[in-house]
Amino acid sequence: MNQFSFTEDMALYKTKISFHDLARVIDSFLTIEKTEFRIKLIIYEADLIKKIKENIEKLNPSLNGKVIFKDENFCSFELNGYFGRKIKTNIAGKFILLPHPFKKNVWIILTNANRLFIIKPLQKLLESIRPRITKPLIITKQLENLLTGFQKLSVVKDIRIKQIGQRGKIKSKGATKNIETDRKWTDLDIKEVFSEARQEGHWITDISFEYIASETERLGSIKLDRNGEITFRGEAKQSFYHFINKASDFAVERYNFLKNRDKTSENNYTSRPFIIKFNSDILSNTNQIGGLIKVLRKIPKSRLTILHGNPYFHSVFVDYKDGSVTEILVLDKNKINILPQGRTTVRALQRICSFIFYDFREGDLVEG
Amino acid sequence: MNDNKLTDFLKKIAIDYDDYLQSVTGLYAFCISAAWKESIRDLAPESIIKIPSKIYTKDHKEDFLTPDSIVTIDDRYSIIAEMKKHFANGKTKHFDQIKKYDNDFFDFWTDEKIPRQDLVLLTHYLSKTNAIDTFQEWLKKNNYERKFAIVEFNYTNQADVSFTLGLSYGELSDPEHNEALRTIKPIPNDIIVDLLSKYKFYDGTPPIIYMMQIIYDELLPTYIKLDEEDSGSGYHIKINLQEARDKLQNLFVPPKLNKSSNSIPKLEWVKNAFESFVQIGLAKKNHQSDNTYIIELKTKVKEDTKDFLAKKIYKLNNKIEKVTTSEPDLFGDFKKDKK
Repeated sequence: MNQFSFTEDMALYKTKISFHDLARVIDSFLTIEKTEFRIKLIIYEADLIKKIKENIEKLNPSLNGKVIFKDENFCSFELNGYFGRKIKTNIAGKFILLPHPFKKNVWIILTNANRLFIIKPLQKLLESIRPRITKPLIITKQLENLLTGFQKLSVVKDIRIKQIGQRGKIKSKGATKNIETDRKWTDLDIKEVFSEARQEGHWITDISFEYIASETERLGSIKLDRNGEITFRGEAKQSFYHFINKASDFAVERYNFLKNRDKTSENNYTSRPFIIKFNSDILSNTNQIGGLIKVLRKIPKSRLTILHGNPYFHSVFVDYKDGSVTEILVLDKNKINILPQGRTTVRALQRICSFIFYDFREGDLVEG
Repeated sequence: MNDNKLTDFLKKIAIDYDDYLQSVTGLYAFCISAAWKESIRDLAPESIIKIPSKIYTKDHKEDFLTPDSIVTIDDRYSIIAEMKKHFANGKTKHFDQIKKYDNDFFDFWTDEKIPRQDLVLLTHYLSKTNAIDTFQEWLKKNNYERKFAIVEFNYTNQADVSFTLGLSYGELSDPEHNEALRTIKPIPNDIIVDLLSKYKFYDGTPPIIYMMQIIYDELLPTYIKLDEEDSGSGYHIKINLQEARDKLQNLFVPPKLNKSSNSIPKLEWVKNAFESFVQIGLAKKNHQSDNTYIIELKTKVKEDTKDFLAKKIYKLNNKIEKVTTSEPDLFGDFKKDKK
């Protein structure tokens, strides 16, 4: 992790930074060698700053944290914890939390700490929040949309894809595994990457690319992942708002699509099912449906009960993280019907979609 | 445990479960088919579907009858349909049962006269030959005044899976509906999706595992508070019988279709399921109240709930078998029709 000077640290974590100033502030730090900033987008309907403050106190001593600075709609935190199996290592960092001013229920976490801070103490803290947070889910065509939109901006040029994380179905006969994972280090343009992915039937889980800021000729580098985590290196002024705002739009769009679908007294116990639609017949036989069952059974803290297996597939999926109940039904060869039941949170529905998209195939969500 | 016996037991559980769910689906699918108006892609506004129903003949309200369903299409036409998914050859009593509905009736709750009805036996396509043969035998000494039909239902798997209704015998008064059934009517998948997620009960007593699974998977988790922490092994849910019954009705017997009294699921079905949870060690009665139970919702078990519960029942049955000489009957009256 890069070490900021005391002054730099003060400027970042000990004063309020408005959303409008974020890009400028980050950009100024990115001129320091080997600095990177990570943004995590979170969807949360309640006051996330309040929740995190409460939870930091509750998690003591397994996690140590405190508020560094607080102002209206802005808070910075310090957080550390010991992680590891045989040898425990202290992982520490700081982060800023603020709501997106224009995208309802979107929260922005910003940190200059390394990835280990994100996946260990920060992840543990976020997992402890109740009601649970929802992470965005950005699929391949949305990643493509983000990049092609960025390419159209006159303020950047020479965008080259440098690294791709992707998954796809194993087509080899006799394979015992269904899905393969691939990580490619490369130098391609946007069109080539996504066209190849489409041809191969792959879906992209994360993508790293470089670009030149037209005005300053500075080299910028960004990594985007499917869960709304964005890493900036080298430059942020020309890119920050495009990615944050557009990724937030996708997150909000999906959140609104998945919201209020369960059976409640408010809607006279009428659920609003939806469909995951695929562009090919990938649920044609019991083997393929078996693949879907494997994916659903893998989801942690859940249970799948199969009500009918053949010729149609009908099951009940219970997400024990919050008691959400969903029925999953396959009648057509290219569709999965998702039927929210007595209580089904957005987070739970997103989780089902996320696992299916990651481990089975990406599809489109359409109204039932 | 004897593996073969257990396997057979689990298979039987799965079949009984599926039979009940398909019976529910078949009954609702037929009623919706009869009341459907393609021009508006919805049920005819004047139609009413009652599953179950309660009717009486003039001046004999105390001798009411409870057919599986009545669908009133308009003020001149209705259909009384009875479901017998598996029809055993020679079972003429089912046609005697239907004969009781061959009369003029009034609705028990509204006292309105039921428009002149057709009579229908619904059965799975595999049973239609038995049903037809038995009916023809029954006809030698009996008849119906009203129109009667045997309608079969089935899932077919050609291009995509579809649920179909077909006229196996007789005819219905609505010529359009009659012709559609005569040529085998596929029910659109969006309607089947709707049916499968919404409707879980009809007047027939469900198998005990059916009831227990719905409670364990679809009711109890909704009691987990969103800010509650999982202890690691599960939750202990305190739940009242009547409250559970009412919530199950809200979830799985929607008022849009079920305009009769709040009668299903029956309280005794829920009570039997709760008592079964107690017997297999997953619940305790709340000592402060006879009608409140504390049920353990195990969250670490990944096994299919039907199998999980069935194995516990099987184990308990085996234990009882070793102690008593008579055949244990945890299922008792639960599986028998109480009509």
